[in-house]
Amino acid sequence: MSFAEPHFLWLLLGLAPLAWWLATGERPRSRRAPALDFWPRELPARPTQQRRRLPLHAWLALLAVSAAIAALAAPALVREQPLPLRIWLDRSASMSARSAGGATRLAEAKERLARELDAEPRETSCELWLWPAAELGARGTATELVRALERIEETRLAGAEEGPTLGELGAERLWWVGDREPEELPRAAAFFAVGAPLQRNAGWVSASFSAERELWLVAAGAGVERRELEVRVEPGDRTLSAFALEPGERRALRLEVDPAWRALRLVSASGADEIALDDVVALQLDLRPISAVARALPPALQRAFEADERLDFGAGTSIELLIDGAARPASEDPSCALRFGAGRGEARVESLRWEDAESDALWQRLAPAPWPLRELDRGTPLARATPSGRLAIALEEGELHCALDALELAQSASARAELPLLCALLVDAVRPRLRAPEVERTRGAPLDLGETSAALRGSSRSETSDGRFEREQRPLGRWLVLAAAVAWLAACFVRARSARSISAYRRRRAAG
Amino acid sequence: MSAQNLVRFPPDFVDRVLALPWGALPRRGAGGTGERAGRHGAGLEFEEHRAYRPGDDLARVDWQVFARTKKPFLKVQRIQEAQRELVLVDLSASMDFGAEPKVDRALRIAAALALALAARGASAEIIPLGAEEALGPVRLERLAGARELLATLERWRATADEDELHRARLRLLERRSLARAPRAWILSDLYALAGWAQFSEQLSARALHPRLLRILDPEERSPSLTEPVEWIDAETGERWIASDPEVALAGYAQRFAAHAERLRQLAERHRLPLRELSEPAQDLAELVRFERSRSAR
Repeated sequence: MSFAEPHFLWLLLGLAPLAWWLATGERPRSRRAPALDFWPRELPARPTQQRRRLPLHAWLALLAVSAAIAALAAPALVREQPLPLRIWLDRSASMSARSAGGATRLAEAKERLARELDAEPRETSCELWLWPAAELGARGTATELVRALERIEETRLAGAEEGPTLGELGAERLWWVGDREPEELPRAAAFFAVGAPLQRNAGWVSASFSAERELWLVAAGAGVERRELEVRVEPGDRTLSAFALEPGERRALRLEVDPAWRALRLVSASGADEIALDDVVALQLDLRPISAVARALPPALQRAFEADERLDFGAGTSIELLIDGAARPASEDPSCALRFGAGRGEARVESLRWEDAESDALWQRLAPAPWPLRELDRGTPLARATPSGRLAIALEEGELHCALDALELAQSASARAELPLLCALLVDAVRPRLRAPEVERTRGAPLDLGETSAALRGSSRSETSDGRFEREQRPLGRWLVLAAAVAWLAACFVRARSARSISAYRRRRAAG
Repeated sequence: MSAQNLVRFPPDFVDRVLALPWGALPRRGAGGTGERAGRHGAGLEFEEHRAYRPGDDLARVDWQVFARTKKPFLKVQRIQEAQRELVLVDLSASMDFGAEPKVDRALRIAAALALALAARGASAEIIPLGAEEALGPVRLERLAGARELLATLERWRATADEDELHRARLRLLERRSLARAPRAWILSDLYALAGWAQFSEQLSARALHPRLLRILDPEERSPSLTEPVEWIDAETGERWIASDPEVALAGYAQRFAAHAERLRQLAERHRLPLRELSEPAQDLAELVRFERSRSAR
């Protein structure tokens, strides 16, 4: 039993003196007499004087008032059950890296996940989602999920297409198991890190093969060792370039290729390293321009783009994001494919390529506020801006404000690239709030009848403080109101009957 | 001998009772104390019929049976082993009154009479007036049964109303054994005087003059009343308000005295010994004095 507005219960103290006043009254003390006939008969005891305790209608009235007060306190029956658990397991290319012990990061992740699931209540409902493909790997109890982990293997692909976003997870419990914590992971989510930092690795993190026969590549090194990288192209096994890559260095290459090539396969001959998947990249000619960002963007950011109907900045132009060093085209068009992964590296906005597009479409999307923004932040500005400060988006007092420099936007590819990032950040911040209840609970606010009326309407669900259980509250207020009404009517009825009996007695006495 | 785990009877109750100077109580085969003198067949109880055998006394042949059956049967009678006195205890709800409930005192007196009679070879039958069906009479023939007697009396409660008491008196008058009892004691507060008067007349008509022991609580003789009070009748549950203490007390004293006077006249008219016990501590001593004074007379 819980009370949403327990301070109303203090009103019950006010009933105590009322009950005392009713109980004492002016009635004489009762005494037993062995023979009543010896005592002179002055007056027969009236109904209100027949007992030392309260008359029935007073009891009923007190009961009605007490029930009404209890209803104001919004009592509810509380039942707790484990919250459903959603687990994201990173099985992207970087999870294929092997540790000193020989086990891959994914194996470590599965082992860690199995340990954590063992500590969960048996009846917990779990979902296992696989990142980055956003596939539902398994669904069931914690025990069933442990058995399902054996089937999970690494993937070469990292780009996410479908499935829920992190922002859509709401109040669910969320675990993320991987080698890197997503930046936009909800605060309540748990991150289980696996894998040691890379010692030696180098590979492709981004690539583009345009219609102008221009091959654009980005290579990145990781770990602590300097790596020699040799770019060979298949077929023909020709060496296009060779260079050394320092740990943490990213290098962009622009190479001319044979115009006759429609597809090519590049191999980086850097020797054995910790991630083999980023050593080979296969490209096909894409008639469409592709922009890629090799940046450690949070998964939610990329999801924001896609969930927001894929911001389209021009005819046939779509934004492709490389997450964790790999990406898939947004469409399933086989003419455009990036089918490889790459290691982690520092992001640079300069690595963006941007095809000219009409800025009007962008402006039209941003200038008017398309989202219902009420109840957001309550006056606290939510703002995002580019490092240059030329682009800014802010939410203030429920309205969206955009500051765009049209010249900057037209001339600067980086500015154009940053703008959708800003949009994505904003969308990501706005979306979960849009899905929050329109009326926030105001627990603890003094004398808030809104809580009481909400409690009267129906059951509600909330989380426990540790976030592991869902607390279901079944309000009792409506039944208490009903009980109060019935008790009050009964009190009125009993009192009316008593009054009639007294009146009848007095009439009989008057009649002699 | 002691009675343990009893509330109504102190541990040394039996010893105290037996130590009292019960000089006038009847003894085995005494045949009464005078009121029963001349009663034909006293001390014999019919037991059974048996067939006549040669040599039997023809005077003992039951000729009425012979006339019906044409066969000689002898009436077998046994000598009454002890004089059995009746002790009638009023168990109406009005007896459950007082700091020390009157019913407790009445049962102590009844037990004392039974013990004293048993010590002299006589016996007593204590009858719960108003609760015979639930409790039944209890007899004491020998002192060895004292503990059982006290344990039985410990369980008796005064809860009967006026109707139950009236029916109990009628049933008692129909008992055959009533005719063989030499004496009867009535232990009651003797309220509802009409019923008791009729009962006493019926007993007197059967030559069984009861001894009336009126048991009152001190509060009944001189009640204290300083504030308005709601009276609740112990037997009927009826309620009345006494709003003026002085008026109520004056009326009570007048009615109580009138009742006592009517009771005295009733006892005189039927020559019934009457003693009022209104001091709980003096009950047994007063009982002994009453008995001795009656014997001396």
